[in-house]
Amino acid sequence: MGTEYVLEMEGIEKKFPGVKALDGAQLMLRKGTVHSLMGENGAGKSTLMKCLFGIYQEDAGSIKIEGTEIRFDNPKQALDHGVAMVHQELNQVLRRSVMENIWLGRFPKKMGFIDHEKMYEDTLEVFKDLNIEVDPKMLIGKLSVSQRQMVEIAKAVSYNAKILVLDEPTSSLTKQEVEHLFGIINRLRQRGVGMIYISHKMEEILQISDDVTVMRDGKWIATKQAKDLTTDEIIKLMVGRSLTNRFPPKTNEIGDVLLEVKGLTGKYMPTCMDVSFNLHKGEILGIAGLVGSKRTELLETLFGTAHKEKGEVILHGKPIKNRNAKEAIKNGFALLTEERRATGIIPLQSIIFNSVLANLSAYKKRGFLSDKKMEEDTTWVIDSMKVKTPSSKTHIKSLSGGNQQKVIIGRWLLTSPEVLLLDEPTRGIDVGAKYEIYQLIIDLANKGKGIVMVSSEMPELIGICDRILVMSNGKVAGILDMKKDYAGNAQEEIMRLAAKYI
Amino acid sequence: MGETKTRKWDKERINEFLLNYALYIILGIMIIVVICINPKFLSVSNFIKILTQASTRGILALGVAGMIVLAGTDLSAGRILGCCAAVSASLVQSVTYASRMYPGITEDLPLILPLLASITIGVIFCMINGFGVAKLKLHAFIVSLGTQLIAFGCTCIYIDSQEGGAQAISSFNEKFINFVNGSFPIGNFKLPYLICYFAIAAVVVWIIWNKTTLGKNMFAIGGNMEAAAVSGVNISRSIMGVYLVAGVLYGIAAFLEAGRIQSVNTGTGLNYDLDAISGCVIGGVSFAGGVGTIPGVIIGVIILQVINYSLNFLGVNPYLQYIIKGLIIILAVSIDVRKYIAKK
Amino acid sequence: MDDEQKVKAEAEQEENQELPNTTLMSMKENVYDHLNVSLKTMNRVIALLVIAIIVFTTFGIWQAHIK
Repeated sequence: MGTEYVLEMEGIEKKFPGVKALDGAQLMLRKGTVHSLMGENGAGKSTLMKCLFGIYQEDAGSIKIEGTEIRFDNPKQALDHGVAMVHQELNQVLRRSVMENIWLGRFPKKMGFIDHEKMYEDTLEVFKDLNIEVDPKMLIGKLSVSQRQMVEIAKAVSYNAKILVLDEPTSSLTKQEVEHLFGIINRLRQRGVGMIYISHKMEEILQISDDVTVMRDGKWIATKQAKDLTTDEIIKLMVGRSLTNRFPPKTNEIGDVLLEVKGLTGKYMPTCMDVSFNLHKGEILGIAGLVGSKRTELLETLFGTAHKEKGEVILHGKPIKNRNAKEAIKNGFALLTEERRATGIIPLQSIIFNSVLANLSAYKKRGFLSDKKMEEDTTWVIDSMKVKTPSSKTHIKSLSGGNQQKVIIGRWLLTSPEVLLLDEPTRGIDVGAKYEIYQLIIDLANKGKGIVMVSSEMPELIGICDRILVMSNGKVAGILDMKKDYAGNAQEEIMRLAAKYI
Repeated sequence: MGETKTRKWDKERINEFLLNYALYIILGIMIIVVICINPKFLSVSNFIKILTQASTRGILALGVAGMIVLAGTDLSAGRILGCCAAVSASLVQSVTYASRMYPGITEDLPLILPLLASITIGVIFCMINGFGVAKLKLHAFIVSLGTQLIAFGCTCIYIDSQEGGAQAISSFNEKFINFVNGSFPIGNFKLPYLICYFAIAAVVVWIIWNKTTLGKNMFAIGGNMEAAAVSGVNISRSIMGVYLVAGVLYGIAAFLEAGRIQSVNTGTGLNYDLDAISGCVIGGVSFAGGVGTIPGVIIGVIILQVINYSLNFLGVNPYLQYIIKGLIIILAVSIDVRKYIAKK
Repeated sequence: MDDEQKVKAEAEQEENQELPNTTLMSMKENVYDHLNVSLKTMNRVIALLVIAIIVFTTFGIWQAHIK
């Protein structure tokens, strides 16, 4: 472990249309160390790494590898210069074999033609070294997500790079596999490899890192040695205000039971299995769980966009069927989807269009849609959701993520739902807008609605939910009542439950 | 409890099977019906005839297949073939034919020259397509839609430029006709050269697809372009490579087709791409990209030819044949699409 | 520990078993991504096409033989 820097990134700036993703970010990586990069969603961690790896080109700033200034125009250059990356979204060609995926871009050749035998042998060697038991000839799409993640890690390690970036490498791994990965990381550390580790999991960070850099809103906030840090300090640096100021005061009162879900099981595996819970009026029920715990599938099955195999849904004491979205809306349900860019907004249409979309039947006057009514409702959405926009005719694409989300929430509120299903409502939204959305959610609870909120952000769940249902591998692992004090360790309890059925 | 589950399993499994193999089941039934109605259908000479007819279209399909694996398509293949055929044809006309295109040529050119000319034209047009897709990031559908018309225009101008005005280019020299339409005597049968050329092309393309970096890259780009990009694959160079191979194949197919039909006019090649694309889809090359095999393409092309041939053999109204073929193509694509619908 | 492993193995087995081979879903975008057709509809379409093909072909053969 030396003090020379194998990587120096300084003053990095990167702009995308509408948002400045990196604003003076920096990272100094010492040789043979693990340097963790922390920050909330949207802080710019992945963006910074993608600038390093050549996927993006930075607008300003300098990158030096072993003292030499360098700039990669594409990933191939990065790989050739000793920088490898484990990507957050597993970039794999699912219909090809494991070994083809690993050696893509650097196939072993014999007399100009691909040497399949060598590819197989090489793959086995890499796997043996890392103790992975996967058949190299198998179609990678048929592996489980955790196996695919291990293959992705093996691929990056096999480049024998000087600098290895691991972006959320443990998001789908079991505890055993995480320990295994840490063994690999320790060995690489001894070999003098510099590693950058991005993760949301605090305990992992503190366990494996030497240094920690915190980013917020695209800016570098601080770099400290891991041994000098605690979880709380990291959170404070990440968030910029103490946890108590991040969330609006909870003023909602919990009323009678509004919705009963009994034994809900989706039809096409993998999906939720045998889920039961109650939702009260005025209650905010959080749904926590790891990636792959099928939380989105639960909401979709409740809402009717995924088929139900068995189970009962009872609203106001009467059993109901949400066989499709139309029925669900009529029954008073609303579903805010996880990926607003993919399944929420109609980007090239106006705010009016996006607002009234779910409620069109209300605007019919003698067979035609009433412009006046649609404008009125849109004005309501803009005012009550506090959407920042020059006009109602603006294309929704030009709004910031937070404002887009508010329009979609407004869209659903126009249908006067009683049960709101929210899937990651503050994902990809800056800290200020998050606060506004939390306020909106609490206001809705105040009005007696029942809210189910899926979220991957622990602080958020703990901050505004009344109860938290933890899902693990499709099943309910447990329900935490936030009024009870878990000795300040609600987060740990949630993590423990989330791993229960892995 | 367990029993009802296994029974449901079987019913679902049978349904899956039927739906996925619907195409082959229909084809099988069709062939059986044809044989029943007219047993003469089942003869080696018929089989060889079908294979021969399939050969030039097969070579074209081998070229188009690459584009489909890249999650694109090529609507210009037919017209490009027409242009290449016109050029080839003009260079192999019999020197005794008074109204040949190049009266200045008084001796039969070595066949390699018209072949190379044909390949060059094919490569030029395909490179235009490739450039549009690789560098300009246009969708292959749109670019080839434009190239299709450009190629057609070129063909018409070329054929029009003949001294005697626009007339079909025909009356080819013996060497050429023999080269294309000749056959090997094997025992009692004659194995046409065309089938051999198709076989050779198939083997070469198979090697490219499975044994070269270009082939592997093609599948990676078609399957998940981002995965290819972050693994350091030069995407635009690989795409251009695939189009280059296609260009060569188009040139060869055009050269042989000119010899097979023995007369090239402005309409030559019209809709050949539909047959090529249909053959690929029937053969399992998925429009979603990243999936496909050479045996699949060959089988798909042959199946299409069998359908054509048997319907003709039975005397089915040619217009009705269009309808049936169209339905079969839609069926093939539907089955492909169905594989990608998430079970929700 | 053993119990956990057993549950995990069971869950993985279930996952691998129930995912049919013909629906290789890709996590990344493909050309067919914005398809909003349900499986049920697709099955019906295919069945319909098969029937149509059989009908037309039969008609064509019958017509040819009448002459």
